[in-house]
Amino acid sequence: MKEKKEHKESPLSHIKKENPFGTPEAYFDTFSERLNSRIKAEEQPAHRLQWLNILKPVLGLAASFALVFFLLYVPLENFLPGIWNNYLAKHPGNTVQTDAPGDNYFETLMNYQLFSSSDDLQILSTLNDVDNTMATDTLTSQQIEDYIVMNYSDWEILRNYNQ
Amino acid sequence: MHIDEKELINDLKDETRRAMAFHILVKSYQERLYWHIRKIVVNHDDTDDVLQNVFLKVWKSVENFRADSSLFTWLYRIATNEALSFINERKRKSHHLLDEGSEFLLSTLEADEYFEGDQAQLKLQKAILTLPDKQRLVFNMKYFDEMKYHEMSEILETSVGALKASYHHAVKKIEAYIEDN
Repeated sequence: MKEKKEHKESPLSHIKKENPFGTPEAYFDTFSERLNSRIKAEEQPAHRLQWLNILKPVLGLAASFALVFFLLYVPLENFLPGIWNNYLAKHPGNTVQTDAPGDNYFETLMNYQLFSSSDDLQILSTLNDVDNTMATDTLTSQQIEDYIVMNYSDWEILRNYNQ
Repeated sequence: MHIDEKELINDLKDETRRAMAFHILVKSYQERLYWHIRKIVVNHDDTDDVLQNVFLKVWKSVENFRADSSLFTWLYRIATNEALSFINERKRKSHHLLDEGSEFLLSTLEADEYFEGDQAQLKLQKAILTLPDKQRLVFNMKYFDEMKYHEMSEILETSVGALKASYHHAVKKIEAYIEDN
């Protein structure tokens, strides 16, 4: 029984021991050419990639700035002028009338900021200075006007006038 | 084509003669490497991709080839690693990573338009695909390529004893598969 088992023929012996796979016609004749094309193709973009790698952070940064600008500018341009105009209507003390009706939001915003922050305090202190240095009841309008023209710029005068 | 390996290696390291030497290298080894890879990845187009990757790797790193092993061993080692990486990547993408039976490769075999064997050969190939990758590799190299164990040992960096054991187990599994199916 043991002997019979040892001499048992392997099922592999009934199968042809040859490669059953095939290739497309002339595959090996053209392989070298295709390989060369691929090597050339891989080597060329390497130079381009180097430049791209250098430019990539710069382009990324520029794109980020552009995106941030766009995200800020569009809502400000489109939505906030309306809000701002409403605010001005309710708070006429903060208004600055500009000659050009088409002045954009940024100009309005700038004016508002100038008048609503530390400049208010500056105006108050200016008025206080006038009170301290001169007795207003003894001065004529002309004297006050001269004093103001001599001591303050047009911008400050305008600002005080609007206030 | 008979080539003097040492001379070829010297030419490959010489920038002025590298292109010509590389062309000779490709012509000399393309078929052997192709069939080695084909038995691992099964599909022709995949084999073509892997073979190109192998030669591309060789082209890029031939300058650093230190000749610790023969050119033949070095090329086979690169081809084996590339082919195994390829099928592991494919299995990972097809969610067959834990599937030792290589269902993915079986379906590739059944769909292979360049399979020219008969039904018995198809059954043998299916049996081979049921083996774990390393055992399959050993079986193909020994059974079809009739490679010597010491050569396989250098390529696969495995001891001759382990390779003999692996081949023995592979044959037993294949015989059992053929008898049962």
